[in-house]
Parts: sequence; C-alpha cells; structure tokens
Amino acid sequence: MKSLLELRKFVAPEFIFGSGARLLVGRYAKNFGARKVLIVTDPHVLAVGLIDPVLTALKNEGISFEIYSNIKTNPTASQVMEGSRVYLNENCNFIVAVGGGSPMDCAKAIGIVSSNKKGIHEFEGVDKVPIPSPPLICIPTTAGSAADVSQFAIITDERRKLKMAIVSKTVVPDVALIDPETTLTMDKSLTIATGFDVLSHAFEAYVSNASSPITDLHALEAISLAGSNLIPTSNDLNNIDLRSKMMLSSLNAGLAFSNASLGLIHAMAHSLGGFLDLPHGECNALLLDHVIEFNFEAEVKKYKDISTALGLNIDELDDKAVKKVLINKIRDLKVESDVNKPLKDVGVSMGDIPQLAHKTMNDACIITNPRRPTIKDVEEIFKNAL
Amino acid sequence: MPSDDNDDWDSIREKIIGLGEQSIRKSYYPELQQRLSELERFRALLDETNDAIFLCELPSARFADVNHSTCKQLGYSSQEMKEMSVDDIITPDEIGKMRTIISNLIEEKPLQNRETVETFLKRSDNSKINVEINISLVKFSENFYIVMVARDITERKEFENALKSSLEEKEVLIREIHHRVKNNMQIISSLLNLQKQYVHDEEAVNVLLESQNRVKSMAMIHEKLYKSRNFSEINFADYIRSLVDDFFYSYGVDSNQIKKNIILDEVMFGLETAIPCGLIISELVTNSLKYAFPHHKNGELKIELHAAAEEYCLIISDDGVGIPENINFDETDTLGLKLVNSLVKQLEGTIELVKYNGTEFKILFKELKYKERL
Repeated sequence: MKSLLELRKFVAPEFIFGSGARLLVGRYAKNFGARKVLIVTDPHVLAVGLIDPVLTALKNEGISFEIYSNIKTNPTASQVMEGSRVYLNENCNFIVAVGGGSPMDCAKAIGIVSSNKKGIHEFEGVDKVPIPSPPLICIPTTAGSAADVSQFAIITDERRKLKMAIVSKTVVPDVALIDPETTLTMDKSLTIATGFDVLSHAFEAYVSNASSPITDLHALEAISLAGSNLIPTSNDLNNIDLRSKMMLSSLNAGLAFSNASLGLIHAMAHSLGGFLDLPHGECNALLLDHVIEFNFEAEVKKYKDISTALGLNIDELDDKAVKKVLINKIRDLKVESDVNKPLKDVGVSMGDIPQLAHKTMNDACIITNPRRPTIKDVEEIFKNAL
Repeated sequence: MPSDDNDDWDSIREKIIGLGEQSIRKSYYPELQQRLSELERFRALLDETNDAIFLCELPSARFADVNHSTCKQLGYSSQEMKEMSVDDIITPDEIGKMRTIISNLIEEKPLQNRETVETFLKRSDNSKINVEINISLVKFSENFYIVMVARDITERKEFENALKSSLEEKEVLIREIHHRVKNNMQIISSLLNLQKQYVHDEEAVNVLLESQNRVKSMAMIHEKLYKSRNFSEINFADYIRSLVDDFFYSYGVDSNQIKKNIILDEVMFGLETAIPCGLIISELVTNSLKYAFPHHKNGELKIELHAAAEEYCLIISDDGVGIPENINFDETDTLGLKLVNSLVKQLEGTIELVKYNGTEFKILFKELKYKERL
C-alpha cells in the first residue's frame, strides 16, 4: 500500500464540458491574443463538417486561420514537420486541434516543434521539451484518446516503425472544449475502438504505480461509466445521452492517466500500432485481458475495485476467482464488440514478437506498470495474445 | 449583490461556472502577446532608421543584435552579424583607436558616458564607409553592453570637402585681386614718378610726388591685405610704420633732423577704415615733412594711435613752425587739408587742430563696418 504522504501532482487544462462547448473557441482564441490560428484536423473531420462551426466562431471574432489536415490515423513525424512549416510560414501564433487523438497529438507536436525549432525526435521520452507549445485549444471529436487533457503526445516514427511517446507538461493543452455532440458522427467500429481506449486508460491509470487518490477517483468513475455504456452506445449511435456518458468517461480517464500515467497495455499497444499501423483503440482491446492476466497479482486490491466498478459481484470470491471473473468480463465485452481477435488475425507473426517486445521495453509507459516486466515476460504476453 | 432579476442571477451563475466573456484562467499569454507586438513595433522603428545600430556584448565586443540598416549597409545577414565582433567591421588601421575608446568607456563605467568618433567601417566586399559612430555603455540585467550608432557621413564629407575647396578657390581669387590692385597702383605710382622727372617746375614736382604718395599709401594697404591671413583685416600699426618709413625715404628726410616718434596700439582694421585712415596719415605726415621744419630745422614728428572701447584716437603732431595763422583749417583751399576733412567725414569721425608748440591733429573715429553695396 502506497503512503498518502508520497508527493503527487495533478495537472489539467481548463476544460469546458457540455453541449456547444466547441462554439466557445472564438472567444477563447481572442482572449488568448490569437492573431492567426493554425487549425489541425483530419480529412474525416473536414468531410463530416465538424470543423465548420469552429471556423465560423473564429471568423466572428475576426481571427484569421490556416488549416492543416494532412493527417491520417497515427500521425507521423513527417506530418508533424510539415504542419510546423505551415505554422511558421503562415506566421501563426495559436493552435486549435479539432478531431480525435491523431490530430490532437499532431497539434501538440507541431506546437513544440515550432516553438523549439527542433526535430520532433528530440522530444521523445519524459520531460524532454524545453519550451512550451504556443497556446493550444483542443476540441475532441472522439470519446477515447483524451489527448485534450493529457500530457501525452504519441507520434509515429515511420523510419523506426514505432510510436514515440512524448510525455511533458508543456504539451498539456491550454483549453479543452469537450462537446459530446461532436462524437455523434463516429461509426460503430470507431465508437468501440475508442471505448476500449477509455477502458484501458482508466485500468492502467488506476493500477499505475504513480496513481494518487485524485487520479483513482477519476479512473474508477471512468471504468464505471465506460463499462456500463460502451455496448449500449455502440448499439445506439445517435443517442446523445449515451454519447455524453462515454465522453465524460473519456474525460475522467484522461484526467486519471495524464497524471498517473499508463502501463504495459499502452507500451505494447504503441509498439504494435507503430509496427502495423493499426488503430490505437483496437490495439488496446486486443491486449487488455492479456496484460491484466500478467499484472493482477501485483495490485489485487485495485483489480477488485475495478471489478466492482464494472458491476461484477465479487463478494464471495477469492483472488483467483476474481481474476477469472474480471478477465471473462473483459472478454465478454470484446466478444460483444466484435474485437475479440488474436494478434495473428491483424498480421502479427511469431517472428515479429522479439522486435515488438524490444520496442515495448523502451516505451515510456512501461515505467509505471504495477509489475516490472522483463523482456521475456513481454514476449510471453505477446505470444499469449497471438 | 445579485438583484432579484432572474437574468442577473443566471448570468452571475454562468460566470461563477466560468462561462463568462472574461472567465478565462489566469494567463500571462495575452499580455505577453501585447508586449511582443510593442517590441515588434519598436524593432520596426529601429530597422527603418538609416543609421546602423549595433548592440555589442562585453568584453568580447561580439554583436548581440544589429538593426536591418546595419545588415543592408555592411552586406551581411543578421545571422552572420551575430557571429562577428567590432574588430570584423572596422578597417584595420582604425581598430586600435576603437579598442581604446571602448576600453575607456568600460573603465569609467558611468552609464551616461558617450563617445563620438569618426572612422571607417568595412563592408563584406572590403569596401569602406566613412561613418560617425556614437558609442555608449548600457546595462541590461547586470550585464554591460555597448550601443553603437553609426551614421554614414560620406555625403557630408564630400560636401564639406567641396565647400573647403570652393573657399580655397575664393581665397586665391581675393588674394589675386588685391595683388593686382596693388600692382596697378604701383604702376600708377611709377608713372607719376617717371613724369616727375620730366617736369622742372617745383610746384608740379610736388603735386606729382604728393599724388604718388597717395597712391602708394593705398597700394600698401592692398599689399598688406593679400599678405594677411583672412584678406579682410590688416595690422594697422605695422602699416603706419611702413608708410612713414616710405615717406621719410621719398622726401629724403634726414632722420637725425626730424625724429620719428611713433606710439601705436596694435589694432586691426578692415579695408573700409584702413583706406581713408591711411590717406589721412599720408596727407598729414606729408604736410609736416614739407612745411613744419623749414631750413633744415630740427624737430620731432609724432604719430599716435590709441584704441579705447570701440573708439580710436589718431594723433599726428610735430613741434615745427606751426600752421600759418591765416590758414583756416575748415575752409582751406589746399587739396591736402580738404582731402583730410572729407576723409574724416567718410570715417564718421571728428578732427581737431591744436596750434600750440607746433601742430597737432587729433582725429577720433570708430571702425567702419562694411556696408553692403547695391
């Protein structure tokens, strides 16, 4: 049991949650002294028109802008450098990110590259950013990444085929405008993938060795909300109440993991996602139960809390039984969501595992895993998931 | 306090939640942006001036910052300039002087210290610019810097040189004119001298000699003028001595018979005063030499010139036989005395004749200022 006296810090951006929050972007940009805004988004967000109210809000305040949208799932270092060139060439002094984790992480990276005038690789790891990003407003359009409140930015290095984790308080956005209405455009598979992202954020934050009573509150609330609303939402995509609950769950998970950090699931998911260019939420879903299997004994009490938060009745059960019930619950969720696939189904082969394990060991997320794994352990977990 | 108005309560509640127009989290960024724009405006001012402005770190004298004009004038990029120091832009023969000025500034420390120096800057293509640099010491957060403001004075120098050579040209011209005037007068004097040798009438010889002396007295002024420093003034005491010597010579006076007693203050006269004054002396001295000491009578000729608070007093006297009682000085028919009267008038002065123990003329006058002639 950790002592309450251990030093902990909690950092969160100013955030507004609720219907129409994104429309406040004009006022915020103006109050922050924005002269020219770089809007970072992706082609999907542009296509469904989510960007239009944001542009109107900026225009109404007389603020000019430039759009950078050449971003695909899993933003790459070269996209970051391209975006930064746009930022500098257009003489911008402010960034607004509209979209899921990819545009938001890309926007954070564009920010620090532009202010530090250095390549994105310089910032890989924890606390490697000397100069903060210019002011950044995030408007999330998925209920998953919570990049809008986190100190994380994940950028794919195409050359090394891995995801770089940039962990720094300097990439925490200044303002998050969290508007559940924006998530109505997500299709079923994206809704499920992002939902599993929320769950794994919350799970990992809760059992993290850097967790605190405050992050625990948010983590458990996120687990409870996501556990009971993920499947209903995926079956009722236009239900704004369910969408709001998933968005709130994402926010809670984000506040928890941004401050408690993550663990082995994310370390492995980053490795996997960088290797195969898979959606991040899906990677998490594939690995979730396998990592719980490995971690359970290190934080039995906390995994019991998680089980309760998921609505499981574990009163009469011993530790071993709880572990089984919890893992089954996760697998049931995966089956119901149609993401219960082995890794070989997404293209991983036995020969890839040493490389995947090696990259996992170098990911910043592994540091706060409740149980410290060896490379052999990681290989074993990958094999189990194969 | 909130009123009962529901709208008011709602709006205050919104603000408490943080949804008001001004409800932003404490941030220095907007203020910083504003200061930044002020700095940018100021920077634009510096960049737009024609002077080259340098900020140098001490003691390295490396450039910490330069304005746009500096880069344009010297032909370096601002990035290149920041890798350079004062030594790199001063022509080699001027570096020593610059270093001394800078080290003096540093040693003396007071921040008001300023030095202005004319020197040459070296461009990237090794050509030179003639500049005047104002150097001052400044202090930013415990560090001393030097601010140099360099102004291109190439045009000013060219103008100054043109002015100087034009002035020199005019001086040569004026000297030449005085020289020629003197030469022409000397020719007239020589002609009179020649003519004198062809007449036998004593009266005629005298007239010619007097005229010759008058011309000479004027020629001598022009000679003194072109030998003077500024062509506008001559040392009048010097002039009187030469003039009197010359008369003693031309009248063949034995200096044992007539003694010269010359008491002169050192004064400078312009042409306006010198000519009439010289002619007056010429007339009165001639008169004394001719009439005061008949039959080789011994005596003294005394010439005094005193300067006192803008007024001058010229006294020409002798202890000779004196002017005959029947000559009325004011209504004289003699050309010499008539001339003296009209010259005194020209000088706007007064003349007084004292007939006691010889003759004494006392003339009071002020220096005439040159009057513009239309």
